[in-house]
Amino acid sequence: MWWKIIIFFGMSAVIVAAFLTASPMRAADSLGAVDAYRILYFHVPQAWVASLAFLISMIYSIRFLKTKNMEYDTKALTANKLGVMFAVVATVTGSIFAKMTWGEFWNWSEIREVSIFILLLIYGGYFALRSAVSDPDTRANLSAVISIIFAVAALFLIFVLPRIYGLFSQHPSDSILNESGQITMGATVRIIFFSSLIMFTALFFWVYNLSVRVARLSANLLLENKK
Amino acid sequence: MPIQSVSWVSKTLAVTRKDIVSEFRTRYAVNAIVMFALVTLTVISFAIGLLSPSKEILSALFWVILFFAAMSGLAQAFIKEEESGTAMILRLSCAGSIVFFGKMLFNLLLLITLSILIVPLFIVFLKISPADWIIFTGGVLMGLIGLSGATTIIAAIVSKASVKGALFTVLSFPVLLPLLVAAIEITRVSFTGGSFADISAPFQLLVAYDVIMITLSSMLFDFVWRL
Amino acid sequence: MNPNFVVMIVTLIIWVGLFLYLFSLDRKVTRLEKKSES
Repeated sequence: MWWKIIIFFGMSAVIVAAFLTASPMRAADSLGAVDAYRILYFHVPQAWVASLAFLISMIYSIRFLKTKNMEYDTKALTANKLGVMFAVVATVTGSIFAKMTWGEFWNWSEIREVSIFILLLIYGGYFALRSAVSDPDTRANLSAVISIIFAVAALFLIFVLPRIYGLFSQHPSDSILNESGQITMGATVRIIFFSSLIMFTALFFWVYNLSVRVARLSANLLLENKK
Repeated sequence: MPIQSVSWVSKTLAVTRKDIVSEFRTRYAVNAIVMFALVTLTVISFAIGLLSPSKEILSALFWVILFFAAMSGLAQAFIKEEESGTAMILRLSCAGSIVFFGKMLFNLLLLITLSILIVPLFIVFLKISPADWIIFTGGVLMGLIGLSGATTIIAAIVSKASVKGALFTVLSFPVLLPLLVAAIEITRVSFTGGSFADISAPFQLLVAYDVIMITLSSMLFDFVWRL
Repeated sequence: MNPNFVVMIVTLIIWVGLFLYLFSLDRKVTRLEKKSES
C-alpha cells in the first residue's frame, strides 16, 4: 500500500523537478532548444523499462519450458504486452527528441534508434507468432522458445551494434554522451534521472502485477463458467 | 542378424541424405531458392547495375540476395515432413538433435549450392570481384553456417503454426541481424581489399554467433519438435 | 507563462489521472480476488 504512495509522490516530484530545474544540457553545447533535453528524463527510463519487460518475459519463458506451468506463459505474455507499449512510447519520444536536436525524425546511422527499432521488431515477431498458433499449449511452447532465441540475438546486437556504428555515426555528439559513451551528468541531473528510472521501474512492476492478477482472474472465471 | 550400434553421426548424415534424395526427385527447394536469388540479382543489376554502385553497397546487396533467397527456400524444411506424414516416423526413429543437425546440414548444402551458382553471376553482372578470395570465401561460408544454423529451428517453429505466411521472415530477421551485420562487413573488406586484421573483429563475432546459435537451437529444438 | 511550467502542469495532470485510474483498478481487482476466494 505504502509503496503506491511512494510511486505517486516520487513520480510527481520527478515531473516537477524535470521541468523546474535547469535543463540537463548546457546551453553552450546543446543543439536546438536546450529545454528539449528534458525529455531524456522520461525517454530513457521508458526504453529501459521496455528492455526490462523483455528480459522478464525471457525468464518466465525459460521457467515455462522447465515446468510447463501455463501461469508462466501468461506472465511472459503480459510482460511482453506491457513491454511493447513502453517500447512504442520510447520510440516516439526518441523520435521527437531526434527531430528537435538532430533535425530529423529518423536516422539509420544512429545506433540507439536502430536498437529500439529492433526491439519493436522482436516484439512484433513474438505477437505474430502468438496469433499464428491456435492451440494454447503449442502456442505457449513456441512463444517461449522464440523468446529465448530473440533474447540471445538481442544480446548479440547489444555488443555488435556499438562497434559497427562507432564507425558509421555521423551524428554531432552531444555532451551528455561523450566520445566513449559515458554519461556525464551534474549532481542534480543525476538525482532526477535516477529517481525517474526508479519510479518508472516501480510503476512498471505495479502495472505488471495488476495485469497478471487480472489475467489470472479471467482465466479462473473461464474455468468456473465451464463447470 | 546382430543389431549394430549406429553412431549419431551416421544417423545425422542419413537424415541429410534422405532430404537430398527426396530433394533430387522433386527439386522444389533448390528451384525456389535459386530462381529467387537469380531474379533478385537480375532486378538489382537492371536497377543499379549501370550506376556503378560502390563496393560497400554491393557487399550489402550480396547478402540481401542471399538473405531473401534463404527466406524463400528454407521455410519449408519441416513443412513438407508434416504434410507428407513422415514427421511421425522421424520422431519415433531418432533423437531430436539428430533431426536438427541433419536438417541443418541439408539447409547448409542448399545454401552452398546456391552460392556456387550465384557468386559467378554476381561477379559478372555487377562487374565486381573480391580482392581477397580467402576472406570472401571464409566470410560467406561462416555466414551460411550461421544462416542455416539459426533458421532451422525457426523453420520448425513455423511448421507448427496454422497461418504461416511471412512468419518465417518476420521471426528470422531479428535473429539473423548480427550475422548480416558481421557478414556484410567481412564481404566489404574482401571486395575493397584489406588485411586479416580488418576482419578479425567481425569474423570472431561471426564464429561466436554460429557456435552460440547452433548450440542454443539444438538445445531448444526438442521443445519444438516434440510438440 | 514559462513554457516549462505549462508542460509540467499538463504532465502532472496526466500523471494524477493515470495514477487514480490505476489505484481504482487495483482496488477492484483486490475486491474480485477476495470474492472468488470466498
